[in-house]
Amino acid sequence: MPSAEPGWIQRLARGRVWRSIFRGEPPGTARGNAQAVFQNLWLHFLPVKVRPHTLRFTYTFYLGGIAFLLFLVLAATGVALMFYYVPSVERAYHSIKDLQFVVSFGPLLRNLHRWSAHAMVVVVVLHMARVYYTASYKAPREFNWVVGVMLLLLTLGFSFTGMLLPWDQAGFWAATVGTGIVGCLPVVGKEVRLLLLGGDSVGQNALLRFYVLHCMALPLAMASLTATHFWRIRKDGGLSLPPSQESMASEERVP
Amino acid sequence: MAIQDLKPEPENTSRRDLFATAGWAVLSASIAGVCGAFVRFLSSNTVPEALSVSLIGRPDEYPVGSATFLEEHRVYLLRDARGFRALSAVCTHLGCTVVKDAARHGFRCPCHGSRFNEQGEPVVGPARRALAWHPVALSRDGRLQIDRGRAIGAGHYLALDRR
Repeated sequence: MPSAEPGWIQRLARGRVWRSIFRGEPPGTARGNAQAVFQNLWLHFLPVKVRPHTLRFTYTFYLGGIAFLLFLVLAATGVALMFYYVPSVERAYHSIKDLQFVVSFGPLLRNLHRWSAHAMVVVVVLHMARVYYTASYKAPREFNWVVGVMLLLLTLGFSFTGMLLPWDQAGFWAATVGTGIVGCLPVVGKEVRLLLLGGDSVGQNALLRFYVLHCMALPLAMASLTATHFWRIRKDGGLSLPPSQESMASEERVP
Repeated sequence: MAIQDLKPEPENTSRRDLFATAGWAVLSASIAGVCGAFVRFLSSNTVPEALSVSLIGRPDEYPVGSATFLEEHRVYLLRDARGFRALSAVCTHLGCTVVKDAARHGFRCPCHGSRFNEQGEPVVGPARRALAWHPVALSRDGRLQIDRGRAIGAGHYLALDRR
């Protein structure tokens, strides 16, 4: 340490409690700062090297990161809403009205969830456009593009299933029309529609199924695929570069 | 980025520490605020509660000397020569439902063996407080009415013949 008097963070980082939680050298030295990233579960997917070009705001507009941040906001606010929401045809609408008019901070959490959801659809589509315009879908990133498409479909699935949950007219008819479209699929349409609705029309079974999809199945799929998506970014050599720099980068790719 | 860049510059260290401390303080305050708001969010502003006053029928449905268990209300309605009284069937130990003990003229709890006498006073077992007495009244149209939301002292009877 060059400085004579270490700051309180450094002092804390040398303590026994801190060192039992965080492995490796404490931050402050070059090696310690590097290990703080490599040996941390939540940060280890970050690349070993970053090229300055990929950090430019106008190259990525941070759209993927913003989409992930929105997902975190949606997960946190969604869990909070689950404390009051009841997925029953008698009580769903009234529990949303309670959240809106009775519960403290209910309107804030519900609107955070709602607007973050709309924003996530927009941001994910823009992210896809950015990846397309920078040709980042090309080899060796083809599979990550496919994972990204699946993440887009999951995002739309969240929107579709979430819309029914307030059990209002907009949600009810969106689910009716949406599952009607599913029913038009060749060969499997009728069966898939029956699986989604748990019946012939949008009723209690459909509400419960959409709720379980929205709060359990889709989040698990989303988390797994997001982890894969991030991991592949690193394995595919970090973010894409302009063609002039891409050829030299390919030699440094992580095998 | 060169490795030298990561080393703190000595002349800027105190200012950097100040900003770092201020940053941590703001972050901690924000997290504390969000946690506080979340606790407030979880504290229900309305609590669904059953109506505590119930009409339980006409007096002549309960003959003198009878002890009727009103399952829906978890109350014993007892009638003797002194009149009507309503005794809570909720055990004061851990809230099980006590049953009439015909052999001993009292009540016993099937969960942990507490026994209460006819007046609801604890006799044996872990329960230490007496069963609650609820007020019995006559409604305008001549039906019996109990209020499980209120507990009154032992010995309060509703006597019909003195009215």
